[in-house]
Amino acid sequence: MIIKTDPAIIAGYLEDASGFIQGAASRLVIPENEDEVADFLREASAGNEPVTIAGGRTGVAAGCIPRRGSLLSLERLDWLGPITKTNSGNTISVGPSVRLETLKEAVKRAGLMYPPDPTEPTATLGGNVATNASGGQCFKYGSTRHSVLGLTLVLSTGERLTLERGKSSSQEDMLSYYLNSGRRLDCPRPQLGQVRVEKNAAGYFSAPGMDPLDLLIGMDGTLGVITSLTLRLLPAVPGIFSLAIFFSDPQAAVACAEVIRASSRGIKLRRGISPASLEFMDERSLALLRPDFPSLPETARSVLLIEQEYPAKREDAALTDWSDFLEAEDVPENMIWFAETEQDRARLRELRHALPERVNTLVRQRKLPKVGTDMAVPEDVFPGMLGVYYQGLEASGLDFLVFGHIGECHLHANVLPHNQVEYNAAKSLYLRFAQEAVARGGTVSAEHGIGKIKHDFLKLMVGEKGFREMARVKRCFDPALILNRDNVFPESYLRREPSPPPPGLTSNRPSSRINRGDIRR
Amino acid sequence: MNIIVLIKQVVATTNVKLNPETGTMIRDGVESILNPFDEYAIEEALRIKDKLGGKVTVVTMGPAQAKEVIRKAIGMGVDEGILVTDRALAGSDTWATAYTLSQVLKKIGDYQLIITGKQAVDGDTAQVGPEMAACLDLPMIAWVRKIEEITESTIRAQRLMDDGYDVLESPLPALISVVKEINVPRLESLKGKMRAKKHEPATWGVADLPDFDLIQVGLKGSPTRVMKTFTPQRQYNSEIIGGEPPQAAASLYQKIKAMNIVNK
Ligand SMILES: Cc1cc2nc3c(=O)[nH]c(=O)nc-3n(C[C@H](O)[C@H](O)[C@H](O)COP(=O)(O)OP(=O)(O)OC[C@H]3O[C@@H](n4cnc5c(N)ncnc54)[C@H](O)[C@@H]3O)c2cc1C
Ligand SMILES: Cc1cc2nc3c(=O)[nH]c(=O)nc-3n(C[C@H](O)[C@H](O)[C@H](O)COP(=O)(O)OP(=O)(O)OC[C@H]3O[C@@H](n4cnc5c(N)ncnc54)[C@H](O)[C@@H]3O)c2cc1C
Repeated sequence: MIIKTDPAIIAGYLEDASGFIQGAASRLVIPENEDEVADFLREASAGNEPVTIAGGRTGVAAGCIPRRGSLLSLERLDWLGPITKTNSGNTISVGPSVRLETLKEAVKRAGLMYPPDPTEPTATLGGNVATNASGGQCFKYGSTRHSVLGLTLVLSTGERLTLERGKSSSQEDMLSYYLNSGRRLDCPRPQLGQVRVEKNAAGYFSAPGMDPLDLLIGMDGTLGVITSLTLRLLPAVPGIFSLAIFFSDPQAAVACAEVIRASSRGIKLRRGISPASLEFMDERSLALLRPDFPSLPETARSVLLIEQEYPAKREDAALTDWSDFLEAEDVPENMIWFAETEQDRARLRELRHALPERVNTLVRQRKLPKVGTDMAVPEDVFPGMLGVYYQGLEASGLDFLVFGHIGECHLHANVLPHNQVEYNAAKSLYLRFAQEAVARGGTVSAEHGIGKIKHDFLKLMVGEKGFREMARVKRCFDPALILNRDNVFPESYLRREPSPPPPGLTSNRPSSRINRGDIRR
Repeated sequence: MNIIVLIKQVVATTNVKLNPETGTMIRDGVESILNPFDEYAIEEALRIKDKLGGKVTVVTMGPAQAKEVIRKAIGMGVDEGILVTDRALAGSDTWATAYTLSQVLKKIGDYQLIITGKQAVDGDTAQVGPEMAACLDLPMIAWVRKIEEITESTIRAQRLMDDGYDVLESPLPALISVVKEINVPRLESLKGKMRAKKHEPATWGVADLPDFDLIQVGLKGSPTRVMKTFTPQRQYNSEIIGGEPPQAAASLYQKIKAMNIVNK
């Protein structure tokens, strides 16, 4: 195990993609294997030392940034296990710090694929699982959760828990885990209200009859350290093409997306229309891109970007189906871009990735953070939610644009404030949108996660009761309350609950009460 | 306006392998793509056609598999393709290639503008365009970065230079070669792609070309002699100057001065 205390070295680790600047740590700990993780956590628990877990540090919610204590960097746990053939398909086991791009390359060489495709290639799989990351093809393949078949978690007690999907079941409201030591850990299923969206990175996963494994996906490192993962692989797709479909009507892309989504979900089938990803950019997004992409069709006012996979020898049929469909939707030929070769598809991806980059450049110029939504809502209420976004944004007079994963009803409405007044206006608009999304059964964060910076929004969703429910779960896994404090819900919910006084005695030790006040914000 | 665009299939990697015996390129087992510069040529032709009407034809000389780059051009919106292929042409150098393509152009006859890429990213000579202009006795504007004005009978264009650009005007027909500053090539359209999949380009062999002089083509007809091919060795000599920054900087300065790079 490597331990570093040089502040200059530690400083290099106190950053992710969130812009959070309040990081501090007294030491950096780099274990070489799982045993060292366990030994270290046992000691940290005994010494009541806060521990924050770092993966690739590409998170956007400051989850991996410590406020104090030790930073546990898993960078050395980067082993890539062999691919295993099982009855139900291929799997691979990996260490938590294997980077997404490394895994993707390795399985590609074996003619297989790992479906989740979050955009950041240097993120680690441990980080992806801890945040339940998702990418464009989430529309077809679901978020990271759907590809996790098992994992090993080291608890802060140093105990290990190895879980396989489908091997344990939950009773009504109790999740039971059998630790590798044989000890049974019972944990109440958190009661967090009904979220009706699948793509969700806000708070612990909870659903009646859930697989206990699912609680550990998207927990943002608050319940333990993931030291090994077993992931589901699929056969590589024989063929894929991308289309950019431009519309001269600002609303037409949204309407067309509804039709494509209904077909993909089997609600109203249109032959061959079942893309792997379905993304959207509005008129203002296109306007922002135009200087860098002068070849964008002049009359384009909205666009859908799709990726369609097809089986071997079925390319002609796949092309014909899309062509027929788009003809029926009245999209003229010159408004449909086709890309199939790696170079051409990269050009379309560039169009998509250029947008957040342009936004970030503007943000830097204006020296005020952007205010960007990450909400997803159920399909049936999506048109209403979109109306809420546009009415609010247009009435506000703020500089904004809307783009994102329309397939999953998950759009990013970004406001680019020019000054503090606008920034404040944007924040209150954001709050309203979050309330509206929650009221519709949506999530306040489908992708970016809560980490240390979005507690307020999660609170809209789960309330103080939800925070207490999650703190209760955390206590079961992490009795010393040292791991990733302040992630998901505020640290103040982590005060030690006074143990109930023995019958017949009243407590005369008020100290815990005082401590409680200390760490309350 | 009838526009002819010359396109070449090239290997997708920049790491070209040569046959040490013949000095020719090994093309087996490497992925082939449309020469990137030729995409700009196609794009420019399509833009002129959008403005002036007419027809865009692509011509490529190469093996049967070069059909694929014609299909790519059709997908982008080109009207027709001609594949020039013949065993007799194997081993042709730039001179033989330019001669052959010129004979093709003579057979096509009715054209006002020929556009080539600046160079092919594998052969890299940038000779074929100028040689063709010579064979066809046409005016040529090389390295065009912008067409300022074009009509049925004249063209005015900016030629990229190291220190800026020249503006040249020429009567048509003429030949131009284009650089990547000129435009952003379009992607294929969906309908274009479908048309392209079905497209069978016209295939011409040397027998289809009138007055074709076989002596001028193939390995025998190629004046270029490859004497030797090798990968240049790069040598790096470095010296790391240690010590405190001010002393290190002073010592570095002395060394540079000793090399006569600075003389203050
Ligand atoms: C340019 C860019 C694009 C992005 N695109 C996407 C996207 O498309 N979709 C998306 O979902 N996200 C995206 N992100 C965010 C980020 O990449 C994801 O959140 C990713 O999952 C974080 O992985 P990481 O390894 O960097 O984790 P880190 O940032 O290091 O950590 C994230 C959280 O996971 C915890 N953690 C990490 N490893 C473990 C472990 N082994 N055990 C327990 N907890 C652990 C950390 O403590 C922290 O709370 C993007 C980020 C950038 C910079
Ligand atoms: C001795 C010798 C033998 C060779 N044998 C062969 C061989 O057997 N097979 C083979 O493929 N190559 C062969 N070559 C290479 C071939 O001669 C050149 O690749 C070709 O002449 C083009 O030159 P370049 O690649 O430098 O293109 P450049 O002159 O750099 O190309 C400029 C532009 O000319 C046009 N152009 C170039 N080539 C073509 C073409 N073929 N069709 C249409 N337009 C074109 C394009 O618009 C291109 O952008 C041989 C070369 C030598 C020296």
